[in-house]
Amino acid sequence: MSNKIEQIGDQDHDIVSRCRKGDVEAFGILVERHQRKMFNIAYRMTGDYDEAGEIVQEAFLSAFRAIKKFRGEATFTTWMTGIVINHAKNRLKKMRTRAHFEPVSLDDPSDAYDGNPRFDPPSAGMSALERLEKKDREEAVQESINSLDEEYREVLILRDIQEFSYEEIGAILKIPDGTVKSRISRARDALRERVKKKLGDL
Amino acid sequence: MECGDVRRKLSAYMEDLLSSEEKKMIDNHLSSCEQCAVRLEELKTTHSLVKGLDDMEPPPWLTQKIMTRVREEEDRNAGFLKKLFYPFSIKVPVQVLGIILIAVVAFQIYRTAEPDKPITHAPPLPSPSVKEKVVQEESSGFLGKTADAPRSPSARIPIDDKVAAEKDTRSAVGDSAREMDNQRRREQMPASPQPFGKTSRKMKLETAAENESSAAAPPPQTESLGEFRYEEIPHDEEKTDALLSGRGAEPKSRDVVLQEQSKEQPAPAAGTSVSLFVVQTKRLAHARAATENILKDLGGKDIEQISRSTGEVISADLPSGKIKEFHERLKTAGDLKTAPPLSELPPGIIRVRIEIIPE
Repeated sequence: MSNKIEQIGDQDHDIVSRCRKGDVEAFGILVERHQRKMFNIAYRMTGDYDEAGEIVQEAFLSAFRAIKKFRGEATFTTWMTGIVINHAKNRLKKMRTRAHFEPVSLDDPSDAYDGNPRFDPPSAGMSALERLEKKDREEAVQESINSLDEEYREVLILRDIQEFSYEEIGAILKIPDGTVKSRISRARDALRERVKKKLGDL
Repeated sequence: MECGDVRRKLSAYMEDLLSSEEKKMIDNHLSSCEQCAVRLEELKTTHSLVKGLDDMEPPPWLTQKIMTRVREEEDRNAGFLKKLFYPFSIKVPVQVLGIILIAVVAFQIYRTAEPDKPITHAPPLPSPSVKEKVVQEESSGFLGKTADAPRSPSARIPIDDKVAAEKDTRSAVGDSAREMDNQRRREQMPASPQPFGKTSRKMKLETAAENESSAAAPPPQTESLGEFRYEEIPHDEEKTDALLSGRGAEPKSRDVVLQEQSKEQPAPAAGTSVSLFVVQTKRLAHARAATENILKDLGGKDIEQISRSTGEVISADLPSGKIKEFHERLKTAGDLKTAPPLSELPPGIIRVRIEIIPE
C-alpha cells in the first residue's frame, strides 16, 4: 500500500479548487477517493471498527467546513490525514474516560474486532488453520499497537502501515523531521517489546 | 560502538537511511554482538507483521452517509446566508430587511385573503406582474380557482417562483437598497386588511393604486405602467381608501390564513429536524414509485421529489401518528438503512425525508 502522494496530489488539486468554490458534489469525489485510507488510519488508531466509522464521518465533515481555508500548501491527503488523526485522538480520550467507569479494559482481546470487520485478505491460498493463525496474529499485533502511547501509535501507523514519507509525517503531525525519526525509532522498539510479550519469541 | 548507540540506530539501519560509515560500524558491531543481532531480527519481524496487517474494508454506506451530512450542512448554510447577506455584500440596514420581511408576510396573507385578486404566478419583474394581473382580471371565475390554489401541490410553484423572484430581485439590484425596496413594493398586490402601520399602509396605497389603474386601463399601458403608476398615486387616494375599506370586509380568519401559510412553506426552516429515512436498493425507480405511493396512501402532503446524481430524495409532510406505519411499509421499497427513532417523534405534522440510494 504505497503512497504515491506526488502523483495523486495534482489530481486532488483541481477537485479541491472546485470544493473551495462551493461545489458540494466535488467534495463527494474527494470522499470517495480518500475514505478507505482515512478509515484504515482511524481503525488502526483505535482498534475499533465502529469508532473508526464515526471518526471518518466527523473528520470529513470538519474538512468540509474548513475547505475554504485550505490553501493547498500541503496536499489534500496530508491535510485530511491530520484531521483524521486529531479526531481519532479526541475519540480515544473519550473512550478512555468511559473505560474508567466500565469494567472492560481497552486491551480486552474480545474487544479487538467489534462490529463487522471486513478484510481484504490476500490470503486466498491459505488453509483454514493458517487463516486462523493469521487472524490471531493480527489481533495480537493490533492489541500491541493499541497499548502504545498515542504519539508512538500515530507515527507507527503513518510510517509502517500507510508508508508516508518522513516529511509528510512531519507535515501531518506538525513536528520537525528529527522528531519524526527518533519517535519512529522508539515506537518500533516499544512495539517490538509488546509483540514479543504477546507472541513469545520473534 | 556501544550497544546503546547501536540500538538507537537500528531503526534507521533497517530502513537503510544511515551513511555508509555508520552502516559499516553497525555491521561490525552486529557481527560480534548477538544481543543486538537478535534485537535487529525482532525489529524486522515486528516490522513485517505490522506491514502485513490487512487493509480494512470500510462500511459500504460510509461515503453516502458522509455526503448526506455534508449536504445537510450545505443546505443549512445556504438558507442562513441568503437571509442575512446579499450577493454583493452590500450592508443593508436592518429596517430594509424588516420591511422586506413584512412585505413577504403581507404577500402571503394577501394570497389567501383576497379571492378576487388571484395570483397563481409570482411575478419576477414589475411590468410582467401587472400584465399578468390584468390578464387574470379579465378572465372570469376567480373564486373557485383561488380557493383551491393554496391547498393543492401546485401551490408550491407560486411559492418557489416567489422565492426565485425574491432572489432575482435581489440579484438584479446593482446599487442602492432603496431601489430594491421600491421593487419589492411594486411586486406587492393589494395588501391584507391587517393593521400593520404606516409603512405597509403606504404599500397598500401604491399597490392598490396600481391595481386600480390597471383595471381601469387595460393592456396598451402595461409597458409604461411603471411610471404611470407613480403619477396615479396622488390622484387616487380617495378611491384607494374606498377600495381598502371595501376589502376590509372580506378576510379569512387569521388562523386559517396562518394555517395555509404554514402548509405552503417549502423545506423546513433551518434548525428544524427532518425525519430521515435512507433506503438502499438496486431498483431506484421502483423504490421511488413505491415510496410515493405509500406516502399518498398515508395522507402525505406536499410531496417533493429531487433527483440527484447519487440517488433520489423524496420529502413530504406526514402526520406523526402515521410514521410508524410508514416505517413498516417503507421496508418493502428496499433495504431500509436509516430511520428516525420512533420514541422521539413530536406530535403533529412531521416533514419526512426519504433518500433512495443505489447499492
